[in-house]
Order: sequence, then C-alpha cells, then structure tokens
Amino acid sequence: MSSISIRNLNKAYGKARVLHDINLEIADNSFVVFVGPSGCGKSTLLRTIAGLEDKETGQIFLDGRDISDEAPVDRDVSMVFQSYALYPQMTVRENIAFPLSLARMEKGEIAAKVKGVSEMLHLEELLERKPANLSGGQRQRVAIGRAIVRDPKVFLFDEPLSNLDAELRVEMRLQIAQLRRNLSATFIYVTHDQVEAMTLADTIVVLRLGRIEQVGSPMELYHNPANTFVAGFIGSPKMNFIPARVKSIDGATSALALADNTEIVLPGRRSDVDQKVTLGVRPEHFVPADDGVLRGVVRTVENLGAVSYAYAALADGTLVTVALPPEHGVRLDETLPLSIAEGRGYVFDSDGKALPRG
Amino acid sequence: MDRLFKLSKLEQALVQLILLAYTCVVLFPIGIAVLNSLKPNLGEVYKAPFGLPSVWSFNNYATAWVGANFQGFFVNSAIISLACVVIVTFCASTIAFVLVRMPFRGSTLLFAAFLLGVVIPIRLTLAPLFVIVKSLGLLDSLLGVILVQSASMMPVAVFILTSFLRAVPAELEDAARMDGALPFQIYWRVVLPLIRPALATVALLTFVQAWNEYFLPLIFLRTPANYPITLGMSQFRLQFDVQWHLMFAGILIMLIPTIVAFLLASRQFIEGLTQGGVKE
Repeated sequence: MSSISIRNLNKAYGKARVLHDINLEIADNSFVVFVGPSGCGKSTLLRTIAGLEDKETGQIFLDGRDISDEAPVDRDVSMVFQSYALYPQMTVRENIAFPLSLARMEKGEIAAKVKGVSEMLHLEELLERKPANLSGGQRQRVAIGRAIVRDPKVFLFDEPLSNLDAELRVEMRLQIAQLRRNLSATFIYVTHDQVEAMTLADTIVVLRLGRIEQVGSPMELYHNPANTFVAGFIGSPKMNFIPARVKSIDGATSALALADNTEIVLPGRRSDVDQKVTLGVRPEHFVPADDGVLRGVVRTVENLGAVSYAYAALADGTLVTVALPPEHGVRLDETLPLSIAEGRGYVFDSDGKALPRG
Repeated sequence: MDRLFKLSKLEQALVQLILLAYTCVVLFPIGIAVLNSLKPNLGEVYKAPFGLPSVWSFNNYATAWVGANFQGFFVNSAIISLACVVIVTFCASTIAFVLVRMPFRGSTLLFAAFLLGVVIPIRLTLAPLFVIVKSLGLLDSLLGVILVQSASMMPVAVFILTSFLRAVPAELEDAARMDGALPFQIYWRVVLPLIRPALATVALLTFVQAWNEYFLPLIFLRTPANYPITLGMSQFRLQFDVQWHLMFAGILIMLIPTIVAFLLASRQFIEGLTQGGVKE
C-alpha cells in the first residue's frame, strides 16, 4: 500500500506564497505527474512531499500516517533529482550503497541489494566507475538505482530527463515506464514536458501559480480541459483560441459569431446570448473542407514527415495551427477553408472556464 | 583547453628568458645560503661569500640543531603549526558549512564578523586578547599560542571555504538527506571530499603562516623552552652573533618544512586557487 493524501497544504517563501491550499489524493501504485510551467510550484510540492521543504500549514499522509513533520528518510520515499545528484567522489557501487550504509545494513546484505539493483538497471559493468566517467543516461540510471535500493513506498522524480538529449529522453522514458511495471510503488513525477506527462501518467495534476488547475487521466485532460490554461497546456501543438461571441442559442445548439461575423454552430447550450467567449479548437480537430465556414490564409507550412502543420491567419488576424496529413498539397498564401470536426469544438467563458459541451 | 594566445618562437624564447631570470633572482639567495651553510668556518664566508666551500661540511646543521637547541624550537613550531592546521581546517569548514547550508537568524551577521576579521589585523586587538589569554591561565603556554594563532587565521579560512561551499550543488546535500544522512554525516561524507582542494589551500596557508609567525609567540611566550623556531632564530642570533655559516644552516632548517608542505600540497593548492569559479 502506498497511497498519499495531501490536505490543505500551503507553502510560502517569505511573503511569496508558492502553494495555495493543495488538496490531492494519490492512489496506491499509481503514476502521477505534476505538470505546469516554470514557477508553478510543481517542484516545491514534490520537495514538500519529500520533506526537503517545510510546509507552512496542511498535512501529508502516506497510507494514513501523517508524515508532514517527519524527516525525509523516515517518510519511506526516495527521490531522483534533475541533476542526478550523484556523489562525485564515490563509485557507482558506493553511490547505490550509500543509503544502505547510512542505515547500518550488514555488508553482505548491502552487496546483495546493490547486485540486484545493478542487474535490474544494467549497471553491472559500471559499478567501479565514478560519475564523471558516465554518460548522462548512465548517471540517471545510477540515480534511479540509488532511489530504488531502499525499497521505498513512493518514488519522487524531479524532472529527471530534462538534462538528456531528445533521443536518450525517449529511451529513459521507456525505461521508467518499464521500471514502474516492475516495482510495486507509487510514482510521483514532475515535468514541464507535456509529452512525458501524457505518455507516463495514470493521472496528471496540472498546476499554475501554486494552485491545482485540474486533475485527471491524460485523455480526460485532453478531451475535457477545465479551462483555457489546461486546454493550452495539454496537447501539442497547443489548442487554438479564437475570440467569439454567442450569437444565438437554439435548443441543443449554440451559434457563435467570430470577429468577422463568421458563424459557427456547436452542439450544447453555451453561456448566454451576446456573451463574449473563446472558441478552442485543437490543430488536429480542424478539417480542411471545401464547405468549411472558417477561412485561413496560409502563412507557414511545417512538414514533419508523419504530419504537417499549417499556420493560417483568420479574417480577424488570429493565427491558428492546423494539422494536415503528410500529402496535403497546401501552398503558402492559399486560402484554406476549414471546418471543425464534429463534437470537437470547445467554448470557454470570459474567465477562461470551460462551458459544458452539450 | 584552447590557447588564448599563440606565441611565436621568439616570443616564447623571450618569455622563457624572463622566467629564467626571475627564477635566478628567487633561487640565488637560497643557493648562497645553502653554499655558505656548508662552509667549514666563518673565514670562508667572508673570503668568498659566493664561492664553493673548500670542504663540504654538514657540521653546521648538527651544531645549529643540537648546540642551539633547534630541535626543541623545531618541535614547538611543529606542535603549534600542526595544531593550528587541525583546528583551523576543522573549525573553519564546519563553520562555513553551517553558514552556507544551515543559515539561522544572525548567521549573516556572524559571517560579516568573520569578514571584519579578515581586514582588521590581530595586532590591533592585542590588549584585550592578552587579558583573555592571561585570565584563561594560558600565558606562556603552547596551547595559548595555538588558540590565538588559530583564531587569527580563522577569518580568511572561513572566507575561502564559504566561497567553495557555495559552488557545491545543494542537490547533493538534498540527496544525502533523502538517503538518511544527518548534518554531520553530510558534512563529513559528502561535502568535505568535494572541497578537498580548498581544505588543502587553507591547511597550507595556515601551516606556513603559523610556522613563520614571530609576533604572537613573542607576546604570549616567555620561557625559551616554549619558543617556536622563529623566536629560536632570534635567540640564535644573539648566541652566535656573526657566525653566518651557522646562521645560514639554522635558516635553512627553518625553511625545510614550508618547502615540503608546498611540494606536498602544490597540486591541490593550485586547484584550490583556480576552482570554484567555473561550474562543471
């Protein structure tokens, strides 16, 4: 068992409040990713769970036990740091064995545990090397080894892949996913990379300015974002936002008028007539169609191979991103007629809050 | 590392010439001292001060060592210097660790006080210092001199070590805390090995300064049996007045430990002076 419950957690650095009333339930054996832009408080929240930062108010429970005021080592959690934080003067073996030697474990037992971990992470050949003689990926594996050798209930990862190059990042991501399948523990992972969040997480927690914006599964956040911030943060390229006004509401449909009076009809009752709203459309939910009501003049086309992206200016000047199939035939300065895939338009009120989709 | 400048052969020769000239200027007096210390009598020193000895004799060293009680002074200096090295490196590194990694209310003030100690010469505080040492009953004792000399060297040592500690990534200490290390274990097992070049620098500076210190032992010591080698040298001058060949032998005996210390710690010392500014 390794469930975590965070209740009314607050944290401030002097007068700057960095965590506001955080309430969060993390299920046993789940993989939770804290995601958000720089300065949103995700690392602070992780470090507070680790015990490296003192909370101001609130409580953190691990399996019902209040660990809020316990020392990091007594919390039954271990952490992998962004910079790996390997002890440069120690060999790989000594690094992995360090927490066990501090716990005064018997030498034979330490050796057996180090062997087990090094086999799991394919570090056998590297045990006598110092961190300076390892590649970035190898260092990260050693850091993970040092974290798992203690058999903690909860693993905390603080942007562990951000120092790696793109190729290695994908490889390590797969290894972490594999590790998660092999270990019976809860994983809490911090990243600003939404691809990492989407691919690894059971549950994503989106944070902004020290507040939780939304909690949910990756696809839940993708399909039902609570507000423009989450809608813009989850999904790559980000969702397009087009200013609009509710023109009319007719039973189960609402008609939105864009700045150039283009009318778009979406299912569902959206706000009140004449209210200013924001229409949200993901790039992949635009459909180039001859009868499309939206018209965009293509400014740039990026061909990525498997997919292409056209950046088109609407009549009101809003630049939207449109995902196109590889063989698209779209040219620069061409006017692209666009429609929105059925049931894929999002409407947000003037505060950025998502309106029901019918 | 890329070279900033590429010198032509002529420029290289010129640079080498200047360096050679400087080496001669530095080594010449030492060479003369060595030559004269090996001369059998004073007459030869006066007759040919820059010449080779007619007979190479090490008797002057034996005479200085035994006859002038240099062995006693040497042992006293060794005790004072080594004790200062141990006290200063241990105390300064623990203080720097606490100031940098475990700041508390007033720690900035404490650091400012150490900085003040760097700029205020200890001689200005001699009167109160004398009263303190006297009231502690440590006048005319090696312990008294050791404590005063250690205290005089602490500010610079704290200054050097805090600069170094600031360059050690805080995440390493966080990792050690997660691994279950207590503050002293973090200091001893994680931080100390990382600041070894700085410790070597501090140890070397402390040793040389303590070994060469004349003024503080002069104030706090009275009994000749407690004299370090610097005070011993001045006694020696009174005793052997114009016996230059013996004087040179005595001076060279006094120089040996600092030269050995520099040779032993030179690599770490240079690392200590150059590290810290650039992150890996």
